[in-house]
Amino acid sequence: MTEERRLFRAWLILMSLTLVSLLAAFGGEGIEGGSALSLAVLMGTAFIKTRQVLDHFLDLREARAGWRAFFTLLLAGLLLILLGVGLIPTLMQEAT
Amino acid sequence: MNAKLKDNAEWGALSALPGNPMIWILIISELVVFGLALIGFMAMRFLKPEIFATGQAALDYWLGGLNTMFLITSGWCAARAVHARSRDQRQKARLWLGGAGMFGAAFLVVKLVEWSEKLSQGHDIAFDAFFTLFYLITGFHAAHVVMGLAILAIVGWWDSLENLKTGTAFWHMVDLIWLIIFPVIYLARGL
Amino acid sequence: MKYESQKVAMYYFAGALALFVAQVLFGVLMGTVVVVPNFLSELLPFNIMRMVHTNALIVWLLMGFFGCAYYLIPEEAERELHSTKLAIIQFWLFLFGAAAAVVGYLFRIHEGREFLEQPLWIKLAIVVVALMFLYNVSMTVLKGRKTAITSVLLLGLWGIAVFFLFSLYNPSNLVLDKMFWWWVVHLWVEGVWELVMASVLAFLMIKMTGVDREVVEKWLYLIIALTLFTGILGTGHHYYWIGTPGYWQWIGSIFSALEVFPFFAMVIFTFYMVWKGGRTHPNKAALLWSLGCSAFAFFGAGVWGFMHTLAPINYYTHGTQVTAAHGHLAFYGAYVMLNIAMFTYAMPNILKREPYNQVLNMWGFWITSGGVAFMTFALTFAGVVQTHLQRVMGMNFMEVQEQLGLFYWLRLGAGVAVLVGTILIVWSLAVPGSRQKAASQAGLAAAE
Ligand code: HEM
Ligand SMILES: [Fe+2]
Repeated sequence: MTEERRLFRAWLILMSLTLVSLLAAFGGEGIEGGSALSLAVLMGTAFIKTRQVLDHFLDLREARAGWRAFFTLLLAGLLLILLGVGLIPTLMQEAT
Repeated sequence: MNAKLKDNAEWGALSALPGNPMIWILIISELVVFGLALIGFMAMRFLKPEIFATGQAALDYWLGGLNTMFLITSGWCAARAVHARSRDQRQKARLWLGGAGMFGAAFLVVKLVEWSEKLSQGHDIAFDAFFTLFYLITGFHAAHVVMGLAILAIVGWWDSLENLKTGTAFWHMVDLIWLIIFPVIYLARGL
Repeated sequence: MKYESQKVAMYYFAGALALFVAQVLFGVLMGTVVVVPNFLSELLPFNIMRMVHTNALIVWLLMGFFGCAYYLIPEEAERELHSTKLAIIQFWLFLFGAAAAVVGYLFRIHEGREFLEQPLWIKLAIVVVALMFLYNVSMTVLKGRKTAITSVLLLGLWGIAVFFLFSLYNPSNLVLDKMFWWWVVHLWVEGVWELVMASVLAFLMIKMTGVDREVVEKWLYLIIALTLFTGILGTGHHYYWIGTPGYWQWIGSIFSALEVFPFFAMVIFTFYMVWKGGRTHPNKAALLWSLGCSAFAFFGAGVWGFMHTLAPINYYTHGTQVTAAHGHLAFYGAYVMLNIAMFTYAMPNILKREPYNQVLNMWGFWITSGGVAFMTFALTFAGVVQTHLQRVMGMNFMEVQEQLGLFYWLRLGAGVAVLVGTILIVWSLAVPGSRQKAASQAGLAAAE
């Protein structure tokens, strides 16, 4: 794959996932806006998107495994915390 | 001093990252700052669900989504600029950088429209807990966009490959952070 | 020591050490007043003693920084100081200003803003002193070799002068008054002083561990980047409850929480350099102070600062003994120990002695540091009890103070230990050891 194609593919993935997250947020087929599932999709797509930017735009895919693991942990950790804190009210409401 | 700064060989682990090692210190620091702010946002959303539900409902998904696409496209242009520069196509690199700047500016225009609309409804930074954080986080991010545009202009002028890598690294960081801000503030609404 | 003009630092070291003793002495007097309320109340009321205590601290730390710079800069710039004479005049002017301020305080002449009580004319004299100093060191650096250490040191020293200018601005609006007061106080100790600290530590590491300058410089850049990134907006942790807009609670909490990192980086830096470069340097005491400095600064500023820096916590602890605990450990760890590290390193070189009285000096280190640490614990416990009784239970201030007597007695005891330790430190630096004296006398006899 040429360099240009690789960058273009990253752009395409980013754009599509943005659409996916928009759909997940205001609800659609089989997914309710504001639900736990919707929140999980939001954070999941955010993770993939940030990884795309890091690996392809910031060329982190060429960096050492240690650095890649560091950024993966940083971002995954942050998004998981956000998901966890964000889920509390949703879960509490769904429970009642 | 500057000549020495460019000599990355002695930066230990940081030398392994593209561009100037100091920009990576900044990228990590910014990620931590915005990360903490967003965790604070989520915690307040839990503590004050009604205020946050009303506040988030007042935001426009589509403007936020449009802006996300602007930044993504802008980041793609910036990456193409580095790619062109690495093949010694300086003019082409500048054109791509110009494109990146245009989409960055478009982002700011949308942001201003959005803020002024909110302000005209009386939702200023002191309005409630939601709007305090909304303006702080998006405002702080927008300040980075402004700074990033200036940096893009600077490295477009002094366009060594190293400068381009450093400048666009900052720009991608601004993009990256928005990719987390957007779902948290605009999309993660309560039931 | 390579340059004759470095000797001028001795004036500053001597002046600083004298004021150090005075500062601690006044501290012990105040510690006594707290437990015996009418002690000296007619002669020297508590508020006056407090001014002398805090002003002496600030003045001697600054005097020490000036001395450090006069010692360090010729060596780094590889040339003599621009003007030794100017440095001596500057010293006497500074000492005169400080003395005049203290005499004025004794006669109740002051402007009454904590730390900045000096009457206007003395503040202006301090500005003149600062300009003389900056002119002198900047000229030296401009004409000589420029290193990362001198650049960062000069940035810090210029910053000290620039932010001091805000002490001249005294608006009648109390919110603005406090806002800009912190531009001096906070932006000093958590901004530009930290740059001085990092550069002096970097100098000591180069001199004592033999690690390559290139490596040390990278660390220096990292540390000052983190300092400025966190410390400037970290000012917000003083803007929670003074009438400034509510968003400062977010800005202050987030950025000041991260202020731990530059202090942490300094710990890693100094310990890693010493581990990498070996501990063969003969001046063991100076090495001990350097490592102690970064470690104690990390606890005093980093850990004890973080403890009460988040707005929801500070809401309860604001202005209690928790603040006092933090203030003492932070000032001691970061800036007292930094100065003593440099004095301990430089004075034997200036006086052309081998490192001397090392054992006594290290006793001073452990007794003083132990005393300050114990005082910090006593005040922290007092602060926690006070916060609970006064801020959570809503008891009134004086009732709560009665409950804290035990802690205040412990603090006084710790203070006396600090005084003893201080005297040991000063003694070890000022008075040549008996072996040393014998040696130099033998040298004299041989020469005759
Ligand atoms: C060497 C560096 C430092 C020194 C010398 C220092 C010293 C002081 C002093 C003397 C005060 C009391 C000021 C007054 O109200 O009169 C103070 C207050 C405070 N410091 Fe520090 N500090 C340092 C670093 C830090 C750091 C790194 C943090 C945060 C992580 C911090 C957090 C605070 C806070 C929150 C207050 C306000 C306490 C209150 O509300 O009463 N300090 N500091
Ligand atoms: Fe502070």
